[in-house]
Amino acid sequence: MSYSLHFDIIIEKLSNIDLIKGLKAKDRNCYNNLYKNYSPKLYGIALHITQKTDIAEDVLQETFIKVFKHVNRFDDSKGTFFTWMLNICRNAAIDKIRYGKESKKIQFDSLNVDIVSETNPEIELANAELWRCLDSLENDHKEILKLSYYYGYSHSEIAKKLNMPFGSVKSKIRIAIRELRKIYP
Amino acid sequence: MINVKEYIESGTLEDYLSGTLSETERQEVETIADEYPEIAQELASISMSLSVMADIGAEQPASYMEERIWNDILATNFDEFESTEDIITPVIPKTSKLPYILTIGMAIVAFVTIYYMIIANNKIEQIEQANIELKSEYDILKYDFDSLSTLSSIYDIENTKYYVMKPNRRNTINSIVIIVWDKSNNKIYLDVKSLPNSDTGKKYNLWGITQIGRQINLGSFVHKGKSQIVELDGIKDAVRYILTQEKESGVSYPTMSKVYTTADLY
Repeated sequence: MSYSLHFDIIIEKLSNIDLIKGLKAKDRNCYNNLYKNYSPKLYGIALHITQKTDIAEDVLQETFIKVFKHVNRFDDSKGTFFTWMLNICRNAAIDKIRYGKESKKIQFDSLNVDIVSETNPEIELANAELWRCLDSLENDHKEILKLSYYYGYSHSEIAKKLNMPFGSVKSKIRIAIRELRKIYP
Repeated sequence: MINVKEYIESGTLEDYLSGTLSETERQEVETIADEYPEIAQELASISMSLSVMADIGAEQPASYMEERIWNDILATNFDEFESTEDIITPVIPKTSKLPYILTIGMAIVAFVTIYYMIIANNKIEQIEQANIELKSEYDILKYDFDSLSTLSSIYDIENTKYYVMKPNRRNTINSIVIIVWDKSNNKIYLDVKSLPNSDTGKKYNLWGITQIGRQINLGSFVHKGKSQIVELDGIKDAVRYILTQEKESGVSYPTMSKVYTTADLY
């Protein structure tokens, strides 16, 4: 095997050094790798939070632009590159539903959380699949998890909305995550 | 001094990751995470939980999105963003009185002079920093060219993966460490070319981090000046490797403030 091919293999593995260099240089291969590996997870989060495909697509686009723009701010001592991207995506999606035109789409009725969304087979299917994955959890654990991870509410906000002690919210989320880790290790 | 247990239970870390804290509050969390390894550990754990949730809810975006986003990236001038975002435009009150005008004029001249001196000083610092980075990158590339042909003869490329570990600037700038993972026997060969000597009573530990945040101790070694290749047991589901310096008696979890090099696998 030639040296250059050998070197290419290493570059393709993309350590963070290569990744950050690639983003700064607007390298297409680097983008392709990022997009291929992470766009379904990021788009899924954006879709479940915003419940609209066009808004979720905007969030996904904003996320990648911000990643390229702020790559210098990534600090690998505080987490992986993916979790950094994930937080950018969640924050962008949460901003859309809280401060954008979609801000009144979420309604609460105690633990019965309902989303007011236009009928869209793609979203219905995505929702059904997600709820199926969460079905093994106890009902209140599942609802709190949805509020926290997919609807973007902080733990203190959930405690207020559900009139539940803050500590209970936290412990229910921890138990739910622990259960999910058993199913999806 | 904070009570770590109370702090973790306060929910601040979840709020941090939910993006609901102000900029000042966010910086405070980051400072505290730097000072207390247990809190950094908890932050990483919660963050990994988010990854689990992302895996479960993954959805394929429309096929046109890949090109649409790439075209937007190409059309965006990121240098312009960075250079104009933080510019502060000073507001100078209007006045018709000559002494005041002269005073303000002198103040503006002084302000502009100081401003350009700061800019020039920053430029020099940036150039010095760039030189350090270039030297580091040059060392890495030179090492790659010098040693990879040797490595290729040692390891079967069909069963081998390589990862160049990134130095953590907080603890080291010029470290050069390459992970070679031999899938055929699940062994890791840590090719240590350059790394600070182990402190007295300390040793280096390699940790494998899995997708769900488990931190697995893959073994330790002492480093004293010379380059070396260290053989360690590997794991198949690592998404990240980190190299820390720990006390010789061993620890259960990596000390995040003592991370020397990292490599992300994605």
